[in-house]
Amino acid sequence: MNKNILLSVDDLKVYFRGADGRASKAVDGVSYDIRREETVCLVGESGCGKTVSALSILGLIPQPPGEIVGGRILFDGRDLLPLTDEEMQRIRGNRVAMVFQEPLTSLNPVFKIGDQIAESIRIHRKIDADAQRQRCIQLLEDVGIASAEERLNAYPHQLSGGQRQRVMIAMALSCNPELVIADEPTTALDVTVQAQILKLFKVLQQKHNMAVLYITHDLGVVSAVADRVYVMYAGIIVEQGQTAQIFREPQHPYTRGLLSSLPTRSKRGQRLYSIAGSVPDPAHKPVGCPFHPRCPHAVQTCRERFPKMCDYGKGHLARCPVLYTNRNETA
Amino acid sequence: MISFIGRSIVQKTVTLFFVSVVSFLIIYLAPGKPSQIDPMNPKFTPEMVERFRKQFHLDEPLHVQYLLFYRDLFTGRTVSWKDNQPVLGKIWDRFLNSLPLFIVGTILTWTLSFPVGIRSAIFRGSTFDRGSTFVAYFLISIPGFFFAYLLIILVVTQLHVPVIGMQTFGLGDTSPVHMVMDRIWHLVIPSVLGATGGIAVLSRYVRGQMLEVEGQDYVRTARAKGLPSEEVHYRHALRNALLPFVTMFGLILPGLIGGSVIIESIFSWPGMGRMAYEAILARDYPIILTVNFLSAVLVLIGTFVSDVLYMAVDPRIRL
Repeated sequence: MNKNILLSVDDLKVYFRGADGRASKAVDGVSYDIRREETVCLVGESGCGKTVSALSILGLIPQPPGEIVGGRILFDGRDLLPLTDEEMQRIRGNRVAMVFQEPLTSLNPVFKIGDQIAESIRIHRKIDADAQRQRCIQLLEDVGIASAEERLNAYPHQLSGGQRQRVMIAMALSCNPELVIADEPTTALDVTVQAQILKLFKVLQQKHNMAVLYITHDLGVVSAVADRVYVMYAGIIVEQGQTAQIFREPQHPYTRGLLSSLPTRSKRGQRLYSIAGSVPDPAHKPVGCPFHPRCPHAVQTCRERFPKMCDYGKGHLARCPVLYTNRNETA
Repeated sequence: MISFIGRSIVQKTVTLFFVSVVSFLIIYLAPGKPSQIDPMNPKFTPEMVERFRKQFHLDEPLHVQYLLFYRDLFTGRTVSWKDNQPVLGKIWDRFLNSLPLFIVGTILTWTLSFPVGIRSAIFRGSTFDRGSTFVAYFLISIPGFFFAYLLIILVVTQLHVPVIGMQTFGLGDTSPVHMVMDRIWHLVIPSVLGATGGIAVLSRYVRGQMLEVEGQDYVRTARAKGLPSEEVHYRHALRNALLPFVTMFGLILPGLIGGSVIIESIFSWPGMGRMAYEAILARDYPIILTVNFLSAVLVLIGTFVSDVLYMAVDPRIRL
């Protein structure tokens, strides 16, 4: 196995059992790799399973109703799924950390932020209270919070949205993790603050040599930060490749649809493109290709057979055999 | 903070004034009158009725009666119409009788509900959760008086311990140990009975609060940090789940004066609840109004204590 690969999710399947006993297949056979110090984006609409697949890495899926039905999650060569909760606790926050979408609700309202940051240092590093405090101040300065020492005693509600997200990032970085999973870290923020946070992420990533898994639905964020991109639709990966490949030569009809629905200045005044239909209910997915009801290129086989990944070379793969054969014929 | 205290005192004084007016009016508007001034009462001659009317100021206009009553209350001169004893003294004696029931009952309720509710929430769906849910609904459904008789049958016929009243009548000069044990036995059964309903309801409420908090994002954050599950539950979740109960803690204060009519009647316990009930039957207005006024005062103090406690535990609240 490639020693450069830090995290490898292999055919992961996560189902949620509803009250009626039906399994809702939130993540249905997803595979992706993250190399050391790389930034990978997982893109997709809400409900496509991107957050669930990320929470699975840290073992944070509530079980029940959630259930990891199959697959492996190899972190640094070790499968995380069979680990006990105690073993996972040594990895969470220490080697793999997470930044959540909504910084206000993700910080505990009744504890000072200094205490909340110090907590993971206390758990994972055996250092005394004074050293913890110094480390907290250092972290807050790193994430760009002014007068860090005073801010240690602030409560989350006393900070602005951007500051709260900086605190979340400081918390995630506190133990120098090798991988940070950022679940829509900028969605809840103003656009100007978004740009600052993304920039901060980049600086910190280079400083600490960490890999980042970005989960987002925002293609603007993707183009700004990602080295490689995985596009998810209805619990599966439909296309993957270098960021430039995905943006310049999208091969899957869904990726093409997503890119065409971005508003740009050149399309000013025209009606904005949107993909017809909506994301299928994960408990009632269509047979065959899950995208076929919305796909302009769908043919009979799409309704019958689950599509294979087709290789476009240089790590660019798309799960649409129809367009793949068309391309070869016209070429 | 100082301004909050000042504001509260002013607001609560105004509220108390309106409470006093409304309760006074309701009592006097209610049909029926004290037997001493009832012209149909064969025990009293018209002259005696006239004398009582004068003594109770019932011949004065209503607003004068109101002023006279509250003047007497604040100067401690109010007397019961039934036996001419000072009302405050009577209430104080009964209060001392009710106090042990209240204290033991409250301690039982609050110390049992929390562990049960928290454990049910953390191990949701477990045998413990299902068992405690069943017992809680059982205790909520069963009428207090019926449950009381079950307990009495059990304790009296099986354990041969008398439980009626505050102590066994005619115990005389037995050893002090025996006396103390007798008092404790008499105290335990009514307290347990008074607490069961509270435990059942409060433990369900604690469970609900805890479950809601366990689903919050910050609990997930705490887990994502790698904290052990005890710290996630008992530090991050519990601290937030407890916030609403701080408010309730201030509001148990009025229970001090309420007492429980049913339990005190069943166990012949000479407490506040029975005194107030008997005063209503006898139309002993000074006692009813005094108990009413004191309980309004305790409610207002209770809400003030709640506000202050809430501010102490929730950093988001500044008064």
